Amino acid sequence: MVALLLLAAFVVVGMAGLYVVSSAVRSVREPAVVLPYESGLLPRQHAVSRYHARWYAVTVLFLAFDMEMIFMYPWAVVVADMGAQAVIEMFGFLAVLLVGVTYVWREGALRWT
Amino acid sequence: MDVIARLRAWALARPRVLLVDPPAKVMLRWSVEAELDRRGWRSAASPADADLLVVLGEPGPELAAAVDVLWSQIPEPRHRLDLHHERALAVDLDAGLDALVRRSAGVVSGADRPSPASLLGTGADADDEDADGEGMDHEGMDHEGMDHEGMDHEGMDHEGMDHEGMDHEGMDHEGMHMHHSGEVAGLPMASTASDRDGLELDVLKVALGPVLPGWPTGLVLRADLQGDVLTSAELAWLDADLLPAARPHPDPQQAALDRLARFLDVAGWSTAARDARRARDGLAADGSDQREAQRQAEAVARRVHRSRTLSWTAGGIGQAPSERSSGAGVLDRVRRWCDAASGRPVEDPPAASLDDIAALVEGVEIGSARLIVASLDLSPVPVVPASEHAHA
Amino acid sequence: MPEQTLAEAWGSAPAVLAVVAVGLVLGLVVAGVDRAVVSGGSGAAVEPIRSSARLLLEQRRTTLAPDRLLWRLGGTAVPVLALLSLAVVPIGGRTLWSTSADLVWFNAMEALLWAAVWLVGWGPNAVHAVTGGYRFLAQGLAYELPLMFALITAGLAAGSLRTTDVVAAQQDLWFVVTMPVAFVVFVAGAAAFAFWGPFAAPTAADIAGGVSSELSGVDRLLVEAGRAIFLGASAAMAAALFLGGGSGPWLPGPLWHLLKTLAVVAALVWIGRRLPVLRPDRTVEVGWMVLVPLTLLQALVVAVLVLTGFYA
Repeated sequence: MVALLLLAAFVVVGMAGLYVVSSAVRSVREPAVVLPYESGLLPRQHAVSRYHARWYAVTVLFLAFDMEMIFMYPWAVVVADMGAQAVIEMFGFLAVLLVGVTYVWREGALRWT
Repeated sequence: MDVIARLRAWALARPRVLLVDPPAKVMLRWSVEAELDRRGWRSAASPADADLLVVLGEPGPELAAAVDVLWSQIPEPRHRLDLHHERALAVDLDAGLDALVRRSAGVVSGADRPSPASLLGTGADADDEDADGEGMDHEGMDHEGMDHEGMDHEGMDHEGMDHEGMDHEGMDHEGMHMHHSGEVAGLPMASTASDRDGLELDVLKVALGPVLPGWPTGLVLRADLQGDVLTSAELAWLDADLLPAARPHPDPQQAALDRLARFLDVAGWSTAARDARRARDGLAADGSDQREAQRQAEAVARRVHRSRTLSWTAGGIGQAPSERSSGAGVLDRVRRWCDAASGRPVEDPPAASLDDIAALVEGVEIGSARLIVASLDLSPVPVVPASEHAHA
Repeated sequence: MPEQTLAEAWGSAPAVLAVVAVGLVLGLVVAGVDRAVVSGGSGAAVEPIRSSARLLLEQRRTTLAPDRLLWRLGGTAVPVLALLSLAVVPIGGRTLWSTSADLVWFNAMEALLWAAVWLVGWGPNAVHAVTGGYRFLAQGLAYELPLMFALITAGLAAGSLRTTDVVAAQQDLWFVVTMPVAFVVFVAGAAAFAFWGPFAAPTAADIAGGVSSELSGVDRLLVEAGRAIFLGASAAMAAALFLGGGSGPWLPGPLWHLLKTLAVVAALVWIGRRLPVLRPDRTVEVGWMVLVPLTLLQALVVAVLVLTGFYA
């Protein structure tokens, strides 16, 4: 743990060092204040809008599966001890989830354009 | 100190280049691209990525205004290079690199960079914004009865002024009476509109072009962006009535390789795009070089033609509803170029009009729209009647 | 556990320095090989160093009304996450940090990249960057699960989530033999999270560089370095989890591990650069309908092999 914190600290210090080095060697120290790139034209609105993510249905599906993954990590460690029962239960559960995925796919939620 | 200067020169020896090529400068662009490839100077995807701004020839006033905006977005050290002739190409590029290195050593003040507010024109309260805002679309869409007044330097201003019109629209939509309160830092937030499912969601006014990687320089696509889907697209050429009539390329094979390379840039296939460009440049040589280029051209055409990945990502888009105006889909057009690129005679399909393209990109994802535009050989419609141009 | 971590064996500070140095070297190797394949020609090895120096000399940029805090946070998080993921990659046969859940740590660092890259896209208040950020999220939805299943499959065969245990379990037979699908999916998924090559849709040319379209100077350097380091770390991880890590005849272990990592990098770049960019709106479907079932089938095969005592 100490080593990990040390690594994180070292990386952060190293990046701060990069910023310092850069500001020492570059010709203009203060950042350029510019308009966002819009192919050479001037932007007409702020881009940070409520972005219409058409794949929002996939995110829900993903969450369901992602929760399942949390069980799968500890499961992987105990399969050898628990025997066939653990495998059957896990893959039975995954099969149920896959039925759901197939349904979502048939409904066309995995394609949005 | 000398060591530092040399380190600086070494670090900047392969600058990133943002290339602005007005439509009539095709041959010059080929030479520049060949020279940049030889030097290993890569092209920049956006101004933030660029060190050198290379402008070919003399852009028209509207494109020149866009170039000024791009120039204002490039970080220091930067250098602008105007190239007019192929003759002194290498010398000019060397001079540009020298200027860039000098610029990185000297102390540059930020004063020569216009502030966003001054570019947007938010400092001054203009009254004629409506007229100006209309001016652009008007100019682009039809090519008659133009006065040159609106072209001079209004190109810069009217864009910024436009926002007021936008603002009204957006606010009225929600039944409010705000005037400027919807603005942050001189720009309004995105307005809302119904999407294709009838949901009331944010739409963002965007412009693709005039200067974008793999994009026909000078073409502007204005549209509403709903998520990543474009709607209400309108296309126009900048400086439309000043552009010379499009001429057919002297060598159809080279032209096809060039188009293919630009399409592959957009499709994100950089190695194939590089090979297509090298083959294009090699075909101009003679003797064994030319035979080698022919071999390379056939290889890259075969690779692109057969690519399953490409047919998967670019398949099924760009089909005109009527199927007559612009041939079949993106993939068919690209495959036709592949045939032309390997030297087989291919009949050119009739050129698509800007309205056809606007119909093609309506309601498609932004990446698909880019592929569709890249799959059409677009050159500005000349002022001469369309019938004379159709077989050019 | 009898085995020492790198920190215990060498002392914390030298071990941390070694991990960072290995990360930087791996990043340079990835960038150099990539450059050689894309541009060809000699001198590809120095080009990444040259570009880094060029970016250090470049002015930074800030756009109109950016979300500055989140933007810079995302940009600095990319290299931090890449280097932190190296903490559980064996270097010289030992990892810097060793717990009973190393694979989960690697997975967590890669999952945090979702947030980091999206923030880089969101921050500058620019349309291409925002579009790129959301493309990354859509892409993550397609590749995250297959990547996780691939990681779990390796842990399943070893009966442990500790990297060094997984390497030790491959004494007799490399895991790639019984789990080729997991290996390929792991490497491809890592490339997707490094938004590199055919998975570069978030930074593609069609949206002018996407998430990186407004980055310049050090800010750009950090993001580019981060993705190269992450790709290098993933290649090293792939070599450890599926190619037996340091096992091999004649040569010392670390050298074997390095050679295998280089082979993975070379294969990845060589294959990856032969393909155009895959659009997320098409690949999500394939990720769910092909990759998820395939990796699950792979996990099932491995689970059955575990029951038969094949790996014991």
